[in-house]
Amino acid sequence: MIADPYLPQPLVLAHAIRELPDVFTWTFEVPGGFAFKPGQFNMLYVHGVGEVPISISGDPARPERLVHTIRAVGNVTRVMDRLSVGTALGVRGPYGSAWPVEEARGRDVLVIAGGLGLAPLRPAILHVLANRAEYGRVVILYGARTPADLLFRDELERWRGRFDLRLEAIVDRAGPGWFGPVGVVPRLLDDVPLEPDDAVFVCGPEVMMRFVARELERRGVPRQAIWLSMERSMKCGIGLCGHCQLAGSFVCKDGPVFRFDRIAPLLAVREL
Amino acid sequence: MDDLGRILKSHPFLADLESSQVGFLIGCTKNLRFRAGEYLFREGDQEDTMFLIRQGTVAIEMVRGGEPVCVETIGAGDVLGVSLLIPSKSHLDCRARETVIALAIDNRCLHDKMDADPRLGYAIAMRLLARTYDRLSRARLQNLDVYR
Amino acid sequence: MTHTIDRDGLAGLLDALIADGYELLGPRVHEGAIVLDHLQGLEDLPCGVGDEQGPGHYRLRERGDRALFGYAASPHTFKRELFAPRVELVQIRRTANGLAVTAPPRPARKRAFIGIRGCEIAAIGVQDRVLRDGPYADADYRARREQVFVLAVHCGSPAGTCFCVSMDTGPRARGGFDLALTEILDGGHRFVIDVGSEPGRALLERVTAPPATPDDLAAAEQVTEEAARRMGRAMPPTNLRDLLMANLEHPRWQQVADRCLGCANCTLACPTCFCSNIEDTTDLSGEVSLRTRRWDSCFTSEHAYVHGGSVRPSLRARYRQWLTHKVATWHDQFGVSGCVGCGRCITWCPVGIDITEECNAIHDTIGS
Repeated sequence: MIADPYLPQPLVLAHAIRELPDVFTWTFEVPGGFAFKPGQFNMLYVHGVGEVPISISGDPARPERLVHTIRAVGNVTRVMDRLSVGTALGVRGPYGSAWPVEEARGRDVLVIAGGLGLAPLRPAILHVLANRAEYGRVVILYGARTPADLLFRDELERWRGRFDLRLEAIVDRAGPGWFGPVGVVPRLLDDVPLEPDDAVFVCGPEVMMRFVARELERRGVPRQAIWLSMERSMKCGIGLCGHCQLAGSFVCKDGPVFRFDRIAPLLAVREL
Repeated sequence: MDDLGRILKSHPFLADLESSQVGFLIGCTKNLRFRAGEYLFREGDQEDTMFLIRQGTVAIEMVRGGEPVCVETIGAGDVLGVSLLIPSKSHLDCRARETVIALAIDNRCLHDKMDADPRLGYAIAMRLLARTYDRLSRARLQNLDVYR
Repeated sequence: MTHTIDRDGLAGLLDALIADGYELLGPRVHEGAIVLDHLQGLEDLPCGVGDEQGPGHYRLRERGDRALFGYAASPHTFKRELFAPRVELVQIRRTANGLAVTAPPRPARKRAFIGIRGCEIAAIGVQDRVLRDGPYADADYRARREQVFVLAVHCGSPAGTCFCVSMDTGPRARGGFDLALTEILDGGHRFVIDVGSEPGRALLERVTAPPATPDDLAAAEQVTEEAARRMGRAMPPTNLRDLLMANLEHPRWQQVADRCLGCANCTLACPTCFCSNIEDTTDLSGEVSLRTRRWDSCFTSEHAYVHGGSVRPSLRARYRQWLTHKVATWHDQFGVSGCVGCGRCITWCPVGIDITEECNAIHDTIGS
């Protein structure tokens, strides 16, 4: 660890597309490849404005394209939303723990995503689909606010069309024109058979993940078979600034992907 | 047990009830078919029927500013109209999304049967309570509007 | 090997360090407090000065003797020298086709820490684990850490808030020094000096330093044993980590939160606190931007802010975070306690919150 971990690597924004009114996807082209594991994140720096942690949402098998899906919610991300292709950004990473795609080999995989939580799970899904024979049943459950808020809708519909996976999407509310289920993500679990040996990856708003984990446990899935991706305030991304602590863990280096048995008691303590 | 009885017994809501108890309900039950777009009941209707959905999806809608908003969908294996014990007018529209086949159980008849056979009454009430609890906890999560 | 030197010998050591190009940093009296500042020689040390410390209380006093180290923890810590309050991390300049990233130069500065105590040496050891020895190292901390000469003092005059014995960090410094001295006043003002490293040994050779006599050794031991007996407080005799983590909803947290002002003094005074923030500034042209690391505190409302709000909106939660991190979860993170028993947080708390009292209160009422 001789290099100074606070120095960002400059990368030029190659593509930017709008996914939803407040969500956009950025692609950087990195000829040497930006290797990462599914679930990891980068600290993205906007010159003179600031730095934010953003999960990598691209294909780990295509490291020459570094992809992030970003929601414009704060000072830095709102500025990012207005930047044009050709702008240079600073990148530090990849940081954090990964979805256990190796450990899940040979098992049925259940991916449960809510809202923007689909973005950090996308690399894991792509990895599983690219190595399909190594996994058992693959089920993807996704919840969003309304049909217009379904992220990566085209890709969801392509995945749904495959014969070797099952994908269900549910929305909190819908107007006319939506013929899918309406309700919360746990509702989709009702129709999914669950085994204690399943590997379950969950990512979404924290309260939704707690609900889903509770439902999974009720249906007999042990805590050691469930992984969540947590979010906390981050400044350095490398375990030095102290901001992202969740009791004895740093979300930036012990997480963001945590096995549920290791953090379940912590999630139950308010304001921990 | 005749056809209707067999169908009743195989519905998940009544799973594990004794055959005799299920048989008791046959008299209250009709097998109904709704076309896509047809309402099972509307806002303001007296809620006098419990529906055990066998096939198809029912959209629970509330009208807001003239526009119907679907707040939940109920599918095969589920139950609609859990407010059995309190005679009330519905606050919801329940509309068949596609062809819906459901067992319609008349509430007054069901009530009488439950009074006559307390063990049946207890079993039905417990199932309704469990279903209501699930609905309530999920409605609360939905109400938090977490994706904002 | 242990030797004895007199005042002149100590003056000689300090002068030799200066001659070798070291900046001396050590205790000086300034505006009613003993602060850490540059020393030009022995004459700058607080002579005959002692201190009284208690919860929310700090006063200097006349000792009536000529002791040079007759006081305990200063409001300053040597943390300021290694983990500096404000450090430039990186300069980023907009260029024609991208960004130019430059790390600031980290000039080698030779610093000598004079009069540092065992508790603070332990604190530096703790910060080494956090900032230097993990998977990512803070480059500035690591650079500053390189050339530090440590002339430690084994404590003889604990102040009222010390509890180094309870945290097993003092009164004698446990290693981490080049030289360590015990000041003896009875029977002639002298210092029994332990050699802790090769540079320490080499420096000591430049002054008159005969081997310590058995009487000197006995006198030195008595000084520190006496100091150990005068601790005013202690942590409860239990596994603090398990105690606090099992009592996260104890009513005592609300009780202390009712007193706590959220002023963050404790985090500023503590020699192991390491929370920082990174700030971005640009010059007027917008071309050159600077990222700066600054001290931060978990007591601020922004510390735990994520989209949607702070994860710890209440003062109760933030106080709990600070104390449970310090004495409990620090073990999970770094394999050691974050507290070294220096007592600064107790002295400098405006309302006199005493972390040993808080931990004892929880310990005594488990199950309430």
